[in-house]
Amino acid sequence: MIAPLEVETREDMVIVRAAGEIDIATAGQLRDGCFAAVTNDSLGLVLDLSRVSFLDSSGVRALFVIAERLDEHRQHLALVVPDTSHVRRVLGIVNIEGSASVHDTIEDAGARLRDGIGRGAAR
Amino acid sequence: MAAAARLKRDVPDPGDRLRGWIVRALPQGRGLPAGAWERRHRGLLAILWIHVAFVPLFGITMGYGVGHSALEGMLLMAAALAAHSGRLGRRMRSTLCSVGLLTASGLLVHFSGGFIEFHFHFFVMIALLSLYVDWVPFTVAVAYVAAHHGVIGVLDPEAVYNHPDAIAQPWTWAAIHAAFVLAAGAANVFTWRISEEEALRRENVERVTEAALAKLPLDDLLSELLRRVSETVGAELASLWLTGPDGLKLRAVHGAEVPGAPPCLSLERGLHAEVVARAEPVAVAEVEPGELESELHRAAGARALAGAPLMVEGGLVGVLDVASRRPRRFSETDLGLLQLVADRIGPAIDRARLYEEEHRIASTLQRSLLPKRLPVVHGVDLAARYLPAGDAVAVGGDWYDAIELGSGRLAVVMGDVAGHGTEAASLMGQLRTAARAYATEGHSPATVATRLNSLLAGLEDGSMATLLYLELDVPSGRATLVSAGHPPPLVRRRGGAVEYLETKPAAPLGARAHTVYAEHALEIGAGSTIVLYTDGLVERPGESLDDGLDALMSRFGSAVLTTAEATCRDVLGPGEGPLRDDVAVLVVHLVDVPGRSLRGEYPSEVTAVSSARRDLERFLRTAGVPEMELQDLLLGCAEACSNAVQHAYGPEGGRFRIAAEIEAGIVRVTVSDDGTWRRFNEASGGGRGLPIMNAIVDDVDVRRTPQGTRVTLRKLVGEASDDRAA
Repeated sequence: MIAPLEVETREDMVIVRAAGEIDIATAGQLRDGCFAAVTNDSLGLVLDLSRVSFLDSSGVRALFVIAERLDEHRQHLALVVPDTSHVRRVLGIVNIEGSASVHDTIEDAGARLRDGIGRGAAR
Repeated sequence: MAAAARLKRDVPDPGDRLRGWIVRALPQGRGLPAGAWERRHRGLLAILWIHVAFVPLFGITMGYGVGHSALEGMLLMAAALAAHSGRLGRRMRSTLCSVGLLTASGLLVHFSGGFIEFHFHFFVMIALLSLYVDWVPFTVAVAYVAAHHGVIGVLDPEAVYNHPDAIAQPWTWAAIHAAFVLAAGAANVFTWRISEEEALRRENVERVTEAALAKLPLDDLLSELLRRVSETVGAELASLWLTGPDGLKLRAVHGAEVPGAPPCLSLERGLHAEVVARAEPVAVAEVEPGELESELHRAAGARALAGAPLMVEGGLVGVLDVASRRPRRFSETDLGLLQLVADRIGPAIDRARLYEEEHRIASTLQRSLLPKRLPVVHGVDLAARYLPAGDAVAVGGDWYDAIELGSGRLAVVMGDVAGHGTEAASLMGQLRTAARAYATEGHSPATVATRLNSLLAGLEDGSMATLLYLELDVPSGRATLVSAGHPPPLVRRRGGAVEYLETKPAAPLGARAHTVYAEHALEIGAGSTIVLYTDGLVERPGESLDDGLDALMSRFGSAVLTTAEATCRDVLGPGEGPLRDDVAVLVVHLVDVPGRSLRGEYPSEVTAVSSARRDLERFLRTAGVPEMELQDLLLGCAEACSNAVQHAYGPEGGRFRIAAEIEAGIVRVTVSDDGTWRRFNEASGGGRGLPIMNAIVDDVDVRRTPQGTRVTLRKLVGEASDDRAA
């Protein structure tokens, strides 16, 4: 079961909060929900997985697809996952760091998004 | 130090500077303690009464009429009587006495016919008046002399002067007399100020060095010293900062509220950085709010600061500061006092740090000697908790253990070594290891206790320990209990009845060389929960042991028993401040009707995967599989199930099955289907399913046959996986 996604649109970023279990039955909802939430003018998406209790390879695949789509628009995906969460362990195994950043808090994730754009401009 | 240079060192406005200088140069007139004032006032009054008697006599001697002399004497008597009145305030009485004494001077001059020599009397009186150490009577008296000379000099020049120049130019000579009176006043004020300053300095030093303060606990000592130093130097705010990895961290504050975590202060610039760099007191007379490094000082509106280093054995451990809300200069005396307080706080902080370090070492040692994890035994849910005492000298000695004995048998152990500290902790480690060794050799509970007793008595150092040893046959629910002076375990039966188990207690281990330990046979029964604990759980300050046991029983009786872990938490109850003694708790829950294996069959639909996962979760939880390993197994199972759902069957659908067993610490999960294997490419996981499975379980075996596919996952759990890692 996955609870309805909570979407919060801020000035420069979109925050999506997911809760519940993300598996073969629910990964599609997460992917579609995130696609619908992201606006073209935002720096990227903060996806809060703090309240996600389960994530399998279907969910991992959804995250990679979301990250790819964002990357096409030069936007970034920042994930929020508590250090102690099993989800963090799964993300480590599949090496998500190559496509999305992982943070302890929404504030950290937001800072990474802003910081990332700053560096991009310097390049 | 470029930043420090930007701080203004002096008050810039010359007007302010002059006012400041005058205010500092004048004595404060702080008045006297009640007793001292009373004595001085009485003395001065006695002098006034002598004048009441002698001034009229002098008048008569000098040829004035008796009536005239007596009338003028009455003036003095009126002042003396009024100065006696208890209904008037202290200051008023001082002023009346002063005016009386100077009137006496005036009368003497008058009766003498303005003789210059009698003017000396004024100077004696002015010197006496400074005994009041109060500005009001002093000022009134000096003004009175000036007015008296001016007015009487004009009206009746011969009453105050005896030479022709003065009588011809009374105002000029009144000014000369007033100037001398003022000069005498100034000289008195000056000596007054010097003695006052010295008294103040002595008092202030006494305030902060008072030996009685040393008896206070550290936090109280700090707040008292901060309060005193801020009052003494006249600053609203005082704060204490200790060095840490990220600059300075606030330890205590007076004059401001600091909600939440203590703030930190970087040492890149600002006054504190300068104190740290120079290791000596530093003061800043005026600082703009924007230039303050510390949020605490910005919020408090500090405009002037002074800081002193806390030194311990030549090393800097922190900074003590005082701050004022208006610009001001801190004097050398202020800085000296600040440093004195810092020097007093430094060693106290150092002692507290050593003490914390000792606590940390004892707690760490104790924890390192306790089991990292409890074994996973089918049919039993186990959880344990150890909480060190808040006091360093009370840490150590409690221990617990759970030992798998094979064929469904389990030994649980709870013990408490008498004494505390690292010594008790290390003895606990030896006893725990010995108990494990005896238990796994297959000895009966009584033999384990007897051998531990011999071992401890053989050390011949007077060490003692209590022990509770419970051997449990899980399938039958039968138990054997041995107690060596340990508090009785608590049991809650399936129906909810709670009781303390009878233990046939014998002497603690090590008390005697030969103690006979009796075994006590019990029926625990499936669905029951047993709580083993050390006395720290039931011995609370100000409560009798019986009250503690009753309180534990009621906490346990009202707990909602879900998992052993949750029961542990409920039994410990809400933490109320630091513990007086160590507490160890071990909860053994005999799972109701334990299932040895799991079998389930599900339709080949994506939503069925979560049902399968939930069934497996319940099974693994009941078996007591630790959380992380349980999550790994659920994920592995989900990957295998997702694969079966997606690839085993065509549009017509089918069914898949899961099975799970636990044996000798190995969990085996099998997911099977009857479909035609296509390939393990998993569109849903993008090829990540198999790598994930391989990463999280110890063995993945995929077998496909024309009849279907079978994926078997194996994973070591609990203690077994620790042993392998070691």
